[in-house]
Order: sequence, then structure tokens, then C-alpha cells
Amino acid sequence: MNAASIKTFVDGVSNFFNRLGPEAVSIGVPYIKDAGSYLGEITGIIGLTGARKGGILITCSYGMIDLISAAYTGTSDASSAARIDMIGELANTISGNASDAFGTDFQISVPVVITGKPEGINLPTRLPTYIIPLQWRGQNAHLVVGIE
Amino acid sequence: MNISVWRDKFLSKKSVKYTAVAFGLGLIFPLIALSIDIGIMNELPLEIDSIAYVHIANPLNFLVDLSPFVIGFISYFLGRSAEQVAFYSANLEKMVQERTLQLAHAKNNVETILNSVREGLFIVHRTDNGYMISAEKSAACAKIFGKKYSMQGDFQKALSPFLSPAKAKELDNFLKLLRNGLADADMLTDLNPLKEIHTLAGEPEKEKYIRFAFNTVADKDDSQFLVSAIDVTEEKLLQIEVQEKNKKHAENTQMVLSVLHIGPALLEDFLEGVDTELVIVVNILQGEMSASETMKNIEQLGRSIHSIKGNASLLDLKVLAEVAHEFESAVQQIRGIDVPQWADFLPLAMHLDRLQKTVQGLKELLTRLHAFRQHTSGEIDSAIAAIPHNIAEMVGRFAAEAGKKVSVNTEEFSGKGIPNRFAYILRDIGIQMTRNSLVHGIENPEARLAAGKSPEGNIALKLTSDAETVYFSVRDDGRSFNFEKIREKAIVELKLEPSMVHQWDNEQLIECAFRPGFSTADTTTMTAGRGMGLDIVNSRIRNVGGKIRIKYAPGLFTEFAMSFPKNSENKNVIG
Amino acid sequence: MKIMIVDDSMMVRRIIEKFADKLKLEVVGQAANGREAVENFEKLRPELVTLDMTMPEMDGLTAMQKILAIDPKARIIIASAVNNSDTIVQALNSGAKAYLVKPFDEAKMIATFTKVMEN
Repeated sequence: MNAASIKTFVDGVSNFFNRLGPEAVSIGVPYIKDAGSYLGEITGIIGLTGARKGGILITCSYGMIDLISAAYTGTSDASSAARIDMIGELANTISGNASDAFGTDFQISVPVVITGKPEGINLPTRLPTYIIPLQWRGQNAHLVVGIE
Repeated sequence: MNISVWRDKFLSKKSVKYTAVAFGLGLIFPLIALSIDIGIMNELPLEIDSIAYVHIANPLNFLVDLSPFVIGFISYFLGRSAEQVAFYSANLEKMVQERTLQLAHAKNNVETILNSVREGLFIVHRTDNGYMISAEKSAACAKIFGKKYSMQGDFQKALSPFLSPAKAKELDNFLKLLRNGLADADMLTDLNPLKEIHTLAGEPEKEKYIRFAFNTVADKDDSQFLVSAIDVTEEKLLQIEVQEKNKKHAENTQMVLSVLHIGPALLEDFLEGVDTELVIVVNILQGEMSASETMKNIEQLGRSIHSIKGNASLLDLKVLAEVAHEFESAVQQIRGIDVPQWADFLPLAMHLDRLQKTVQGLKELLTRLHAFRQHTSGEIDSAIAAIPHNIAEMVGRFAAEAGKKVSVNTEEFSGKGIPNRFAYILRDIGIQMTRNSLVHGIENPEARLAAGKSPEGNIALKLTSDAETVYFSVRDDGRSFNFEKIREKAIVELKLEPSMVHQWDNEQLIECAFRPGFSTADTTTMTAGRGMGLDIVNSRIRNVGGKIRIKYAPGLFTEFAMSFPKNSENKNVIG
Repeated sequence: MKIMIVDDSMMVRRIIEKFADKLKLEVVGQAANGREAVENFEKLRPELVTLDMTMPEMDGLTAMQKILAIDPKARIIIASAVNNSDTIVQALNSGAKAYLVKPFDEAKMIATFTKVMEN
């Protein structure tokens, strides 16, 4: 994993939020901390295989995912189903948009969603994971990338 | 105009000739008519008037007399037509010559264009056998691809020397798309698989970056397209060069900016981790190893450097990451050697030095940052003088979290007469020891009360110096060493012989706590835990030529008294 | 014109639905995975289908092949987050009439839908 790969995913994040509205998403400095304290109330995880293996996860609060839903669909739906759906789609878009940079053999999985703050999550790899803090409309989220 | 010229022109005209000849021939008819009339008149007395009169009196003769004029008249026009035909046929040749010249000019211009454009241009048209390259192509093709790879014949075959198998397949898919007529102009650009090909080409062969573009041709049946190939090597190399230059130039700026961006707390954590790893590295390189341990040690070495590299690049500390990377490569080289000799390890010493210097530079920055922050708050103006403040701040942050009440006493802390270059090491050790006291030494208020102490613990930091030596001590009134825990750690984590460890007396146990790797023995990840860190402290003091003395009373207090010579060089803060 | 919307995300289906309304298309059915997509297509025979690629049970490409087997003239627009050029080319070669990359750009959507509907 190198800076360029992380940047690809971060670009995917920027791209996604740019389509939601005028507010830009601000990207914080990435870090490694193995404590899972960054995990929010809802988390979307996508596995990556092919030429590069690993996974990404995106996590934030319910409040934030509701805001994202409203901006994305133009209607507000704070139901559990809508939230799970939205974070899954968010994770899907971020990882899908990285595929051009990673080449043809890159495959993304169907998203897995976890609700409620867990103790910690291990991405299904033993790779170092990088945590990238995000801020949008005053809300915090984290993108975690672990890829070969 | 001269009458003779006019006369010659007049006489040379076809119409005149025709008319004259025709008129002359036409005269035969009246003459024949006249002679018939003369013959009839032969019996009667002859008189020319009456012959003429008889001749003209007959109406038929009148017509015959007119015939030369009529014939002449008609011939005049025939002559004119003949003239025109002659005119055009003469001019036709001239026109053909002119047109031929025009075409030659046009062809020249096209050739000139084809010969002067920088791009390789050629038409590709679809046949049953695949895509064929047109014969006419720009001269640049030879320049870009080299004469060895002439762009002719089958398009895909001609390109195959420049494409990896994956790219060739992508091109094949793309051409299939074009065949199916599914791509519009936008798609041609977006889905173009050959936007940038990195290959060897040209004459002589060299590394190139070539950009291909596919353009539609205004063609009815969609079976042709124009391919352009541009050599973008110069631009690409320039781009790479600029990036490298920026990288180099941005070294210091980058360090400062990233340090500022990261924020002191995170940077401190990071540096603590780096220090821990470096201690391990130094000990491996400077220690004694048995042959059997060498492989294991090399691996550990690689891991430590790799950790440093990873975290440095995370925090965007590019310079440090790069230095670590080069170190790591050197370590990888050694792994390739079956039985590495000590000589093989020598290059590593060089890398280690470089790494340490870079880390040192970073630390100095951090120190200055701290001093700067103090300075702007208008309180203190020296890095050393800022230390009590830093430590008090840290204690304030963590004490509550740890559920303890702690006060910090820095009354006897004075940086007077102490060179500023020791600021980092003093601050670092101060923080390390204070944190230890906070975490392991000082008990929570209930435990303290139960032990008959005041609920609030106390940590005292003293700093003084005389002409030659600096004295620094940290003392807390906590529970002091937990010998059981040390024993446990020694056995479980350091994997020392239990029987031996059980025999050790307190002093030996304390010494054990100073062993390299003691505080990091239970962390396999890069993030150094809130370990005891005494091994780091130890190596720091040793490095400045100093020593540590420990005074303690179990359950009552612990004091670490450190001293080192003022004039020590302090080149390497660690190791 | 009748349209069927296929995507495992309800959010995305909602957006495409809104968009279809704007274009005066009649949404006759939806599906959340490939298998449903094929079943519903058989029953409803929509004139236009939007299809996601990454779905559980059966992915988009497989579903597309099956739908084309039922009706080779089916107008399928792929709507996916995957933006790899070669993947897009292969999808188009396999029978998709167009390809839209998520997140959606409205102008592009309009142009694409219009083009596909006209053929």
C-alpha cells in the first residue's frame, strides 16, 4: 500500500461528497491507531480482491448518514433500512471508483454493514490499516483502508 | 493594326477559307445553267444581253444563280465551328496541363503536411481480416516508432511490440466496441485504452511515453478511423522531473509543514514509536549475535525499519519515509545473502546514521515548535524553560483520565547554564519518567489513603547544573517498583529462564527493566504502548555519556537521578 | 416507455425512479439482485432496464446475459460505481446499450437515456 493507493480512495470520497452539495468534505491526516475508537454508530465494509487484496471501511454516526441520505436522494428517511442501504452504497461507490486506477483485475465485494458501535473491527487481512478522518457539514466520519 | 497582319489573320481564318472555297465551287451551278442556256440559244442570232436576259428570265436559273451565295453562307458557319473546335482542342491541352499542375500542388501540400506534423497519423480501416493501416501516413511515424516497427499491415499486429498482453487485450475489446458501432465520440476518448503507453521505441530504441487517440472519420459506413500517436515522453519526463525537484526542494518546508499540520501530540507519539524501534535497531547492529540469531535479527531489523517507514509516510513525513525506505532496501539486500558476514552489515551503519540524523532534525523542529508556542503565549522564552510547562500540561491531560490526582513540583527546575541542545533529551526523558510515574507509580486516591498517604500524588522534577555536569532527577511518591510484574514480564515477554529470574534480587530486577526491548516486548504493532520506556531513557543517557542512579523505597517513593557532562556532543540522541 | 430499475441499494433505486419520473418513463418494476431482475424482466418485459453490477445472489453482468437471452433487443443501461475503462468496454461489447458511472451526473444521465431510448 502506498500513498497513491490511499489517495485513490480519498479521491473517491471527495468525488462522492462533491455531488451531494456545495459543502466540501475535508480530509484529515491519516494515522495508525489500533484502538477501534474511531468506529461510529454505523459502518460499511467492502472487501477488495484481485490484483490487490484488502478492504475498506467507512464509518460515521447515524446523524451523518441521515444527512448524506437526504442529500443523495432528496428525501429524508431515517429508517434503519435506509441507513444501512446508504452506508453500503457509499462504501460501494468509493471502492468502485478506485477500479480504474487499480486495473482490470480489481474486484469489489457486496457491502457488509454493522450497526452500533463495536469494540473493534479487524479487516479480513493482516495488513496495516490507515485511518483517514473526514469532516463534512460539521460531522465526522472515518475511512479506513487496508490493502496490499 | 498593320494592314498586312490584319490581312494575314483574315486570310488564315478557317471560316474565310471555307467560304471562299465553297463560293468558288458553288459558281459551277450557274455556269452549267448558263452553258445550257447558250446551247439552246445557238440556233438564234447571238447577243450577250439576250443570253443573260433569257438566263435570268428562267426562274430555275435564278435559284441556281443564288446557290454559290447560299453554299458560301453555310460554309462560313461551318468554318466558324471548325475554328472553335480547334480553339478548344488547343485549350484543352492547356487546361489539362493546368489542372495537373494544381493537383501536383495539392498533393505537395498534403505531403508537406504529412511530413511536417509531429504526430504519427494514419488511417485504419476495417476489413474482413482485421484492421489495416493505410499506406499514406505522416513521416513522424518512423520517428516515433522507429524503422524497425513500421506501421503497416494489420493494426493490432503492428502495435503488439509496444503493448503488454493486458493492454493488447484491452485494445482488442475496444476495437470490438468500435466494430459494433456502440461508441460515440465521447466514448472514444473516455474508453481509449492507449491513453499512455510506456514502451521502448524509436531509433535508436529508447524509453518513451506514447499517447494514442482514435478519431472518427466522416465516413458513411463507419469503417475507418484516424489514429494519432503523440510522443509525450518529454512532457512526461518533465513532469516526473518537476515532481522529483519539488520533492527535493520541499524537504525542509515539508518537514515544517507536516510537523505543524500533525500537531505536537501525534508527532510525539510517533517519535516515541520511532525511538523504540531505533533502540531495537541499534542494539541489533551494535550487539553481539550468534550465527543462529542473525537471520532472526535481520528480520526484526527489517520489521522495525518498515514500521518507521510506514508511520512516517502516513504522517506525510516524506523525507523520513524515504530515508527509512532506503535503509529497508539495504536490509533486504542482506536477506538475500546466505551467510552474511559482519562486513555486509557495514552499509547499514551508514543508513542508520542518516536515519538518526533525520529523526534528530525532526525532533529539533518539534522542540522549536514547543518553544515557539510558549513564546507566543508570552510566558517563557527558552526551550528548556518550557519543559515544566509541557510536563505539567501532559500530567493535567492524563491524570484525570487515569483516575488519579497528581501535582507536579518544578520549583527546583532551572535551565540556567544548560546548553539548549539538551532541550529535547531533557524534555523527552522528563515526559517518559513522568508518564511512568503517572501510570505505574502513583496510586489512585483510595489506594493512597489506604496506605496512609495524601490522596494527591506528587511528582518532582529537578534540574540543576554545575560547571561540568547537568543533574536531572524525577521523583514520585508512589508505590515504586512492582517486582512481581517485572518478574512476570521478564519470563513471559522476554522469554528469560524462569529459574534464573526467580533468583534475581531487586536490583537485578530493576536492571532488567532497563533492558532493550523490555517496554516494547508485548507490542507487536508499531504503536509503542505506554510502556515503561526505561530502555529508551537508558540509551539516551548512555549516549550523552551520563549515568542513572535509582533511589527507592517500596510503597513510598522512587527517584531517578540522572547526570551527564555538559560538554558531551549529543550527536545522536539515541543509541 | 416502460422501465425496470435494478440495484441492491434502495437509495439508488429511489434516485433513478425520480429521474425516470422526470423523463416521463413508467416504472413497471424494480429488483434488488440479479435473480429478481431476470424474473421480473420475464414477467414485465420493460423496454428499458437500468442494471447495477455488484449485487448479491447474481451479479449484473450475468443477469444481463440472461435478460439478453430472453430478449436480444433489450435496452440495458448499466449503472455502476466501477469506473474501469476496460470493464466498461467489455460490458458494452456484451450487449449493454450504455454505461453510467456512480455517483450520477444528471446531465450525463439525460443524454444517455435519451440516446438509448431513441434507438
